Amino acid sequence: MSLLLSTSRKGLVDGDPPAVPAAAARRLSAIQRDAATLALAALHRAGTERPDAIIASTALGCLDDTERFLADMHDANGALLSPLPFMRSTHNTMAGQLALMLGCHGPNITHAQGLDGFHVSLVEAELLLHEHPEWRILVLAIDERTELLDRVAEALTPDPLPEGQIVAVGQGGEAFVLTGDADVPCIARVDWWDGTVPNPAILVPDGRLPIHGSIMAQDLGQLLVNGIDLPLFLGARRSTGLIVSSC
Amino acid sequence: MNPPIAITGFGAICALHRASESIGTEAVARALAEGYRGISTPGHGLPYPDLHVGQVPLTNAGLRERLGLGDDGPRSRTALLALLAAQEAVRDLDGTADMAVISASTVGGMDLSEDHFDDWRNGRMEQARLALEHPVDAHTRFVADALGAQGFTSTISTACSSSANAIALGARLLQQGRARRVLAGGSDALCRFTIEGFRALSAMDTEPCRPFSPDRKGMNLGEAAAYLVLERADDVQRAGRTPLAFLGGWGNSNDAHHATATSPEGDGPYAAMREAIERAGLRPEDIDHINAHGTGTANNDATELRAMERLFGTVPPFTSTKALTGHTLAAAGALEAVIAIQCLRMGLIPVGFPVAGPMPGHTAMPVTAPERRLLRAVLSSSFGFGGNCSALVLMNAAPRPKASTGNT
Repeated sequence: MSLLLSTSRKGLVDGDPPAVPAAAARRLSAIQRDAATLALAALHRAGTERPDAIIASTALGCLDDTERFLADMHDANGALLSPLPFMRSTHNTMAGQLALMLGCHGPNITHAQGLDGFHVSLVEAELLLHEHPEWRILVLAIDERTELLDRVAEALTPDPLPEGQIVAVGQGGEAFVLTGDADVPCIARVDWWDGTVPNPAILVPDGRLPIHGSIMAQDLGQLLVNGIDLPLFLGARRSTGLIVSSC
Repeated sequence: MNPPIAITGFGAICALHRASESIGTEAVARALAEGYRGISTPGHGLPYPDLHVGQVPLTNAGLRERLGLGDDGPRSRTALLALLAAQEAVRDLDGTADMAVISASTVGGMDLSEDHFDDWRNGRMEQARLALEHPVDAHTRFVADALGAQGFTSTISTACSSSANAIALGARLLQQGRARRVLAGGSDALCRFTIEGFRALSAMDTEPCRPFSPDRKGMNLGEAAAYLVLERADDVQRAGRTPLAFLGGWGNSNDAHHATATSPEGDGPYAAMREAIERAGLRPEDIDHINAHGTGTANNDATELRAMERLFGTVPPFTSTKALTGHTLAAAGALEAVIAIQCLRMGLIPVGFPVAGPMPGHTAMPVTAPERRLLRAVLSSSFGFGGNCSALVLMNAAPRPKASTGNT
């Protein structure tokens, strides 16, 4: 069992600590800045300064820096390339940066499993909390959007779009703090759902391009903000499921 | 008390395969025993005649032929390598339907994306379909579908520690009863993106790399796919089957020091290695051999050896097999686990690069002549960008491991 202590959506609310200090933010890419802002707010709302583990998910990772480095490769004509976009292009850039910023030496994982990445991160958190119930684990889902991604998504979208299907290429993320410590007030609990998920409540319809895992995290965040009245099945079809219920 | 984890299958494809030979883990064992070094100038159209890499000596067409794939649509080289290694790993299993698949990659389908990027950014979208191979999880879905595996599926991307973390996640799923059988490992193909990236970082040696040597100049990149099949040891024993080895323990710690460089005292590597050894129920002196991360960069080798000296005092015989295979990025943790298992099975401590002497400020140096003796426990380390540090302990299947107590 994991207990959700807090969640944070893009943008700060009253009482949140300031976003990343300007001096530090200048060295970060946009997706790193967003990740840091989300993480700091979620940690603050959970009353946690430094998490014991960081688990991130991102479907497509740092697209902006990846495209930047590809463009440099094509346009350089043998000139020396700046390593910065390459260093920041790896999927674990956000989780690594957060560990550095927060001084977190604990387990640090990044999943990249399309729409299922967020669900998988919650599974990983559940497994770690089984070993260390007292831990506070930061779970982050984040993705960014670029012009090129929009162009590729458009080219891949069937025309006409079959009825009931949508194409959702978005950007954004959600951060959560979880613990296994039952003595603290929580906003929801996550348990194993034994058996495969029958009909996940938060499952992106097949018609959406399998691009952004943070969509599931944002959907859960929205539900948590509004209050959960019925248990939610969470997970990909045929996968090891989780069930989210109110505390 | 956590149940021990058995390794019941393994598969690998890497630069240790010679074009004329059969491929797979047997070829890895033979290459290790013969001291074969798979480092050469790149072929297959990679435009870097001035570099050395560890390349799988099969073209994409050759990989497809071995896989018996018809024209089933575009596949990244990462996906083709992955399926070949995964097929070997599950070869002797009685079924894969309920198997979990946890893979790892850093580049995914970048070999295709980098060829078509210029078209895409200029609005020529005829080949947009190839972008579906770009996400790092595309190869995982391909492997799971090809094997008919319907269990939990994920892809870990923690740079060079990725597949070690995939193996650790698989072990946790088994220990907590969330999976019965897990295929865990990783795959990364050589591509221009990573070659240009590490070149921009000045992290590459243009000559064959020299890990832990005073005159080391950087790494050689490599490509590989490697997978282990993990099951609970009690399940395997009940079925009367014999494991290849045991996964004794694993550790994961973040160095939290710098985006690409390791802290001077190797804090992350130290914590990951210590956790893996403790989780295996062992003491540092129980480790018979270390398959080091040993990339051959100035920073890695110095800080890694510092961490080993802090943890062990007298460092056990250590080798960087990246001198033989190149640095295979996300596949490295799983490939070096396969190598460690073959070393356990053969009773072999192999040589990586035969250094002439120790690095300045150190007395310990890597193994310079192969040794044959009984090995009980081998530590394998994998550290990466973002401070991600992981380690695994592989144990001989002959003596049963002590029950793991976790690190609580």
